[in-house]
Amino acid sequence: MAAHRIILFPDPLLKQPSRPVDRADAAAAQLLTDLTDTLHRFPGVGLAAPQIGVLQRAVVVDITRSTRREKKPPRHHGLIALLNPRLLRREGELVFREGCLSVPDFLGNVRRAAWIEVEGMNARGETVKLDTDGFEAVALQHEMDHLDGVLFLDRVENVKTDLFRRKNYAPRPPASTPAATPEAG
Amino acid sequence: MPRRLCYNQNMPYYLLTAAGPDKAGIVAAAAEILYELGCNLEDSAMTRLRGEFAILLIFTAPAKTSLTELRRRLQRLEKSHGLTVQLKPMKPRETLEPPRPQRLCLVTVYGADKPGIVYRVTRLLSKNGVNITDVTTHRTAAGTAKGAAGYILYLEGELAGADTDRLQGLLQDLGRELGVTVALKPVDAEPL
Repeated sequence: MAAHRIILFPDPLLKQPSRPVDRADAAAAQLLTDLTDTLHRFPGVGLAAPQIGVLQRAVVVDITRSTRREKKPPRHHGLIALLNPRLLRREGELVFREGCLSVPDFLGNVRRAAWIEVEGMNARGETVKLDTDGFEAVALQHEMDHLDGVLFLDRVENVKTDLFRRKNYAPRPPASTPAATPEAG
Repeated sequence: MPRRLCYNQNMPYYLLTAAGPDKAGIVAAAAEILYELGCNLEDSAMTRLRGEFAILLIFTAPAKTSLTELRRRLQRLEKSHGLTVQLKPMKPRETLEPPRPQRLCLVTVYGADKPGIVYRVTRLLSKNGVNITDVTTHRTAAGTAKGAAGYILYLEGELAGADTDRLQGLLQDLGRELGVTVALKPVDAEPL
């Protein structure tokens, strides 16, 4: 159990590409555990290894942590923890208002694929293939972008319609308190 | 040809600017006064920056209503809501929407904050004939070990005759010099 500090913009580390994980060894499994532990301490639905200062291709996503209230709960796989995630296929598009635990107090509308198929490796070294859509697909794409040094800031398309300052300028709540708006890592 | 986005050809146009500490009811209070005066809200942009709320609003008023009367009524917002209020009659040509620009661009700049980012980027753009139409900037809390705050700048502008490739190159050079990420993307705005 080791929760980490989250690397914040403008730390140049966030712009670095990450290296593939060679083997699903104890260190790789520990990295996924650390990412999960860290995610659970913050009001977010996903986290990528560069955000805890590790330039390796590992992400975790868990949209069940979201406090969004929707009539129909979005499709989800619970906790997704992947090494070397790779986008196999994508279809459609949707625009989603995203935030990022590494870029506090700023939101932007980003266009993403509406459906994706992703392949990666789990902590036991097994190949995992999954497809998902909606919120979970957005979160996965956001986290996978981090592995290439890409922030949602790079994907905003329009000043007038796409940018939102987070309206809460009060001191951030303690890490254990969920925020009103879920953030992808 | 300039397009007149005007549904009240015979009514004079005014520009209202107002800003003050944010609280619930500012927009309603301003809209109520305009409604009672028989005015028509045309285009507006209103937003909150930190604790401050600002209104930029174009409206038309009945020809019989004097500027003095409009000012008198709108200036009540100063007492009631703590706003600074300004009212400007618009000249007919100011009410025209500029001709649809041929090419728009989005410029994104972000990185560690330092003095001069906005100045250097916008000076470069203006020297190259870009007319800026929208700007949003945001300064984040310190995010590096050295204690640097982050700065995010998005702006949209009309490219006019500017050479996009050359401009992208100049912006890249400036980004390297300032140590920030800079990108210029053409914005597609086709009526579909």
